[in-house]
Amino acid sequence: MKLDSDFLPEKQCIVIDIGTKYTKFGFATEHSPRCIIRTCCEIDGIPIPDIYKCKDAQNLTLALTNFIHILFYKHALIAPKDKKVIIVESLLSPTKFKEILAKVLFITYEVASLCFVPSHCASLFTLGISTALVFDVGYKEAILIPVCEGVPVLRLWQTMPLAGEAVENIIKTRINIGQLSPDESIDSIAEDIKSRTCFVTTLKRSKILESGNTVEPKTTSVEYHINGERSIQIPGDIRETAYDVLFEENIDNMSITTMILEAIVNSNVDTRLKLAENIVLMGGTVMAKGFMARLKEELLEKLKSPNYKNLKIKNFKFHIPPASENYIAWLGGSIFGCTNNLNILSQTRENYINESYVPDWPTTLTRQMIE
Amino acid sequence: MASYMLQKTVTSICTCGLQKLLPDLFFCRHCLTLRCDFCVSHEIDTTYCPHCFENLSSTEAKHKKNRCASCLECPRCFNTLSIRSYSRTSDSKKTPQKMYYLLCLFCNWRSHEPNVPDQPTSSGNWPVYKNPNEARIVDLINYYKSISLKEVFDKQKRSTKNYGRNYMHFLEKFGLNAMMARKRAGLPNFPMDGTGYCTPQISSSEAVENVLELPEDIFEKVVDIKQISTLEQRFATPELQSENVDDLFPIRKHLRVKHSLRCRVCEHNVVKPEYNAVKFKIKHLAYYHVPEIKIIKCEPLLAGKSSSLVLKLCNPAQTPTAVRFEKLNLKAINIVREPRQLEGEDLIAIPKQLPEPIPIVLKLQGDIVVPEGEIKIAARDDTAEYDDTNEVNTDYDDPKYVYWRKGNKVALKFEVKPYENIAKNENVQVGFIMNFMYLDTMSHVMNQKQPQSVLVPIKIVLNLPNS
Ligand SMILES: [Zn+2]
Ligand SMILES: [Zn+2]
Ligand SMILES: [Zn+2]
Ligand SMILES: [Zn+2]
Ligand SMILES: [Zn+2]
Repeated sequence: MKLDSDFLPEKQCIVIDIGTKYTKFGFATEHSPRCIIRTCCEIDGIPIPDIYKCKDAQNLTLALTNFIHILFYKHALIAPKDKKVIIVESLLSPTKFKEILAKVLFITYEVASLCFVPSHCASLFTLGISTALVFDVGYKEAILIPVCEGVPVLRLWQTMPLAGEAVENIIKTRINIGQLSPDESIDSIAEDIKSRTCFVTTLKRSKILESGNTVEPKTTSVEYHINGERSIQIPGDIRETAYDVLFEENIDNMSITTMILEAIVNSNVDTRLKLAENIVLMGGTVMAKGFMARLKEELLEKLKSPNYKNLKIKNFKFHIPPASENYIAWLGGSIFGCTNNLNILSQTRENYINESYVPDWPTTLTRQMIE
Repeated sequence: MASYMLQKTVTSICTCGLQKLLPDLFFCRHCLTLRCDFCVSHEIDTTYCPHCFENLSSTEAKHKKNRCASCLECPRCFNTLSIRSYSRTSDSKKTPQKMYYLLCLFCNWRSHEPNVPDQPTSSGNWPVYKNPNEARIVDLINYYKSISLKEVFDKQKRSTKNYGRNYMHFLEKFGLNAMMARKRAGLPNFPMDGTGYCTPQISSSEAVENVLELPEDIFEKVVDIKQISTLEQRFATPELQSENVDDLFPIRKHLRVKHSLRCRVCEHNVVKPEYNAVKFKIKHLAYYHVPEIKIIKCEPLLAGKSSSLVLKLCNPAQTPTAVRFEKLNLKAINIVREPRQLEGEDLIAIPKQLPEPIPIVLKLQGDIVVPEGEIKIAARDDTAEYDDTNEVNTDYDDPKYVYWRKGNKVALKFEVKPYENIAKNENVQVGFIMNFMYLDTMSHVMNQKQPQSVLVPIKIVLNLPNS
């Protein structure tokens, strides 16, 4: 009788969620990632700030080779050879990225098996539910995909470049940071100002401030030090309205609020209520103070507009995950990694070498639907 | 500084196709070719703490989650924390008790009650932050584990029914599997046919309507930016991510590893560190074998005109060598990839799939005239530094090419002719092949014969400044 893998000592399983800005990395069955690090790597000493922007296959191969090396040899401190790997990924991440990542892991690093888990589905494992409207607001974009009975409803996916980067761009234009020395970066200062001083104000205050009036009480300004030397003032109104860009409608009347409502309007009549009452927010940007409260206010306000009047919805309900929103997709991957499904849904190295093709998550069937 | 580091005037093309500086390359003495970081595999040799230098075995490191048990880091500035003590008298009748806390001598952060209470011993069991929802996550894990087992189980049942498989086969094929899986999952055993097996129930998360509002005082509260943690500080403890610096927990020092590097093709080590020392057992750097090239003189380059270029070659090996130059044929540059193996070299049984070589894309901006014939270079002799006698026969040196010689160094004359159409202020890239004589002294398993000399070709690219 052939020995089944189940009889062999358990292979360690690594869970990686490569975000555009931050990568979450750790071991399956653990309750939090070992580290959250900047997604940045280098090719021959030249830093690559955005790995998803690498269009050239060869550069992407080198960049990912370097990045995986950093993850394993600086953080996991294990050689990737013969380990199991779970990649928690957005369903919208390009096929080419996925293929090159698989090639680097299987061929260069000789991992035993690989499984791509869609982040929108993974996050539901942290809640014990299978149907929800999952909304991921990270750094580059906000991605909405409803999940019904564990299956992502790709027909209803939506994405907009309304996320952390948009907020940082507002900070860059509205605050005069002044002349920077070569070792300072405007991007990291804007991110720092965003994460340490800004919050999402209420709808009422936002409206007043937008009309140019003053609100009571006024928000205090913050004295911010750049490099411990120069100090600049972060005005109170910028602190509270920097995030408003996410709720402002563009020329097509779209904002993160209408993304959610459109998804509900376009879904089956019998699932509408269920989606509205099962909203799951994830991604670093939703952790901003007041975000969820404001989103709810905006949704209720928009519900009164003619477009959505016919929706028989009165309330929106949100799930509170058991861990920080910026790593619940990772945590879902870690929980998934405890189950037997990992072995069923993973692709093995032998299979990869023979087929030279990376299968999709079984329930999504076709990625082409998106592309 | 950074631009200086990136300025690469003389590069060699590694066997995998990447352009590298000589000090970044390895020389596999079995494949007799260059290797670099990209084309060797890395293995973990030892794990150690970068602060106290304690060596840990891989199981120990795994158990401690790659953190040092004794060294703690400041959560604000990431420097090592010091342990301080003071005497506390809780009761006037008792003798004062010595208490310890953690202090950062760099930024003055100290451990704060109630998160990190002061400890009665210096080696105190400094607490680690635990997510309050830990139990819920454990429930979720057990729930999904058992659901997936049930699926396996239902499948077994179906397949036994539908295909009428006999019980023994069933037992062999699935039953044992599920049993093992249950055992692993720490669940009680259940009868082989699955009767009475039920999954634990968990309450699914309840969505709420009343979400967390902004704190009342957020608008008027005076913010001291120094008290608010940065993202880097928050992410150092992912399960906590506290916004207030005082609420942060000390961080256990992250361990590091010593690598040993292995050639992917022949699986021999090119670098192997010595256990418990800063030395290496094996260290096959290209720097020790391949003659190093330096530009010592370059006439100003003009489009379409020849200029002379003097390169200094230095033989790092303890045996004399000889070099022979060739033109770089751009058409054939990507053809010969894996060099021939030495006669009788022990080959690996199953050749495995290797990462694809990287196609070399080179754009040359000029021609180069290389010295003809073989040029000998003396061995490195550390004792003969002030000795002017040359140990190689220089009778055949052509003064047209050999500029001067000294010990294991030789200066050679080249000629560079940039193309007519080169842009001003752009570097002129030229390339050639340097074949150098490598004396193979390894005693190979199959044939224990005399050391043999092998000519090793190395593609060199020069990036000459043109201004
Ligand atoms: Zn780490
Ligand atoms: Zn290489
Ligand atoms: Zn230590
Ligand atoms: Zn400190
Ligand atoms: Zn080799």
